[in-house]
Amino acid sequence: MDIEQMGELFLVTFFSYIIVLFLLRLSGKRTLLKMNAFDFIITVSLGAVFGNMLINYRENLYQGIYVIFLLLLFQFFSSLLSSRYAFFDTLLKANPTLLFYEGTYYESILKKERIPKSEVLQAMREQGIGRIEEVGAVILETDGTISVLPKEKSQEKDLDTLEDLDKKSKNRKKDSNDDH
Amino acid sequence: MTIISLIDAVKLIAISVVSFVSIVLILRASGKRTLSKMNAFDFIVTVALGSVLATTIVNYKNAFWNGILTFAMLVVLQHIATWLSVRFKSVGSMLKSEPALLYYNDTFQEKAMKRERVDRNELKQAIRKSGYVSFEGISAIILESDGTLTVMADFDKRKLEKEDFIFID
Repeated sequence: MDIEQMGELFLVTFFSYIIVLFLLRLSGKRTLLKMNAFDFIITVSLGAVFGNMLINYRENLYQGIYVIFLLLLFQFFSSLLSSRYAFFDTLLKANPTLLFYEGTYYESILKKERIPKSEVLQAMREQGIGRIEEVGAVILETDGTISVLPKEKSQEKDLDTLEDLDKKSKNRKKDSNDDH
Repeated sequence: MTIISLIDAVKLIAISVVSFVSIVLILRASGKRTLSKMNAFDFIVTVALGSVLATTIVNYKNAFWNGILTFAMLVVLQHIATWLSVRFKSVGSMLKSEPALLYYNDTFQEKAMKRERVDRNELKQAIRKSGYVSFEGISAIILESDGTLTVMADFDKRKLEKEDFIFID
């Protein structure tokens, strides 16, 4: 590699850095908010396209910038539409699912979502909870993480963050409330 | 399909070791901040670094030194960007967006939510993820400049005033 090539690479990296920084800044914080599985994939793709276009800048530089621009544009519109219209939101995002509520595992759901009980227990431990009795509800979120809601906090308060669960989960929750 | 020859295999091991060592040295020289994810851009650069490294090793015949140099360049640019934004406020505010208050004082900040394209379900999800159950007892939800949602509980019934959020001028 000679000096000329090094200089070229320097300029290419410098200007692409600034362009990508500018594009990201323009599209806002929401672009990288990882609220569903898809957001994370897009973020990683952006990085991979960026890295690739720098290495193969002779063939791919403008293509790379164009692809980054397009990915950001689509991310922008999908989040814009889903924050304004509930229809797009349900189209683009799965609803969260209830996996465990007040002492009962939902076996069929665990099977359907392919989650072993050991992972539910792991999620509880990660929240610093040692006993299953202390857990009010366990929820599989749309970005593939598991939320654990402690029982003490879920009592004597309306569970208004559970409003967006899918319908089946809601029914099951109602059933188990009736049992008490 | 040809099976990789022994010489190539040894070369690949040598290349991987050399790239690994140079990358560790470059990253160590530039410091921890290079890989900390404090704004939207940092994560992208981190992934790009990984992608450059992977391409470097796979295409070592054409692109080895190019790859190492690109890697070093990205790290240097990241270093310069953070160096400048610590020293000059104007650069800092250019590179980083301000955090946005999305929920505060028992009300959704509809305007901010529309502007940032975040819907209510996402706020609920953020609350559940931090182990809370209800909007009751939540004093504020903030969209940080690295694209994460911070949920602040109001412990001890302490009501936070809008002025308590240090980023609001």
